[in-house]
Amino acid sequence: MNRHEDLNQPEELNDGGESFAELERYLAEAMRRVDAPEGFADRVMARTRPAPGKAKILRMPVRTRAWVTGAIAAMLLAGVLGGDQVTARDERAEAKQGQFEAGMRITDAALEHTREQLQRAGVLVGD
Amino acid sequence: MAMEDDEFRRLIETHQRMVFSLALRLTGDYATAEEVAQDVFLELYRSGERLLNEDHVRFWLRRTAKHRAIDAIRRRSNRPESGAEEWMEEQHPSANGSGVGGGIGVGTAARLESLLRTLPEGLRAAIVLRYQEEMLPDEIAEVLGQSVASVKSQLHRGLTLLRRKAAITMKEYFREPA
Repeated sequence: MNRHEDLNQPEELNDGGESFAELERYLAEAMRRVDAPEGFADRVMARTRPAPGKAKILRMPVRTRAWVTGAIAAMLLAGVLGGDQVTARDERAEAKQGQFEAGMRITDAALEHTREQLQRAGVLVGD
Repeated sequence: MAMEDDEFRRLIETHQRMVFSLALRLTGDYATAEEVAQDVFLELYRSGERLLNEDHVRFWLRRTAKHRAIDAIRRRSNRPESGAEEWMEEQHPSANGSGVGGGIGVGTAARLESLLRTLPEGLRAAIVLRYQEEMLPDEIAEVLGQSVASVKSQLHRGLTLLRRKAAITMKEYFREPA
C-alpha cells in the first residue's frame, strides 16, 4: 500500500473539517525524487582520495608521540650538556696554548739576550 | 577508519537520488544541492564504521542532508528560491501539460515546487520528508529531532500556507477553504 494513502488520515492534518487530500495528492505527485547530476558518484569518490602532490599527514598514536617527545627532549639535553663540556675543554686547550706561546717568547728573549752578551765578549755563537 | 571503496560506491549509488533530492528541495539551488549531497556522503565515508545497517544509513543520510542543507541556506544567507528557476527548468523541462507519471502536469508540479520554496525552512523540511520521502510524522520527528506533536503542527501549518498561496497563484487547481 502506498504510504500516501495514510497521509490524509490523521485528524491533525484536516483543516477545520476540510481535508488537505487534494493538496497532498498534488504534492506527492510533484515531489518525486530527482536524479543526481551525471557523474555524481565519481566526484564523491574522487574527494575521498588525497589530492595529488599533497603530502600525506601522518599522525602518531598518543603513546608513541609521548615517547618520541621524551626522546627528543633527552637528546637536546645531552647536546646542551655535551656542548658545555666541549666548550670547557676548548677553553682549557686555548689557555695552555697561550701559556706555551708566552713561554716560548720568554725563552727566545732570554736566548737573544745571552747571544748579544756573548757577541760583546767576542764569542761567536752560531751564525 | 573509513569504509571500503566498493561498499561506499554502492551506498552512493543506492542513496544519491534521495540525498540529492532532499538537498535540492531544501536549498532550492542545483549547485548548492550537489555540494551539500557530496558533503553528506563524505561524512558518511568517514563515519562508516559507526553505521549499523541499511535503515540506519538511510536515517543518518536524511538527517545529515537536512542539517547540511540548512547550514548551506544559512551560509548563503539569502532566500533559497533565488536559484530555483534554473533547476526547475531541468527537472520539469517542458510545461506542456502532460502528467507526471500519468498524474498532474509538469507545469503544476513546477509551480508547487516553487511555492514550497517560499515556506520557512522548518516547515519546508517537514513537508519534503513527508511527501518526497513518504515518511510518517513519527519518522519525521526522529529525523528532525523533534516531538511528533511539533512535526504534526509543522505539517499542518505548512499545508495551510501552501494551500493559501496556491489558492492565489494556482487558482485553477486550488481554492481557499470556505
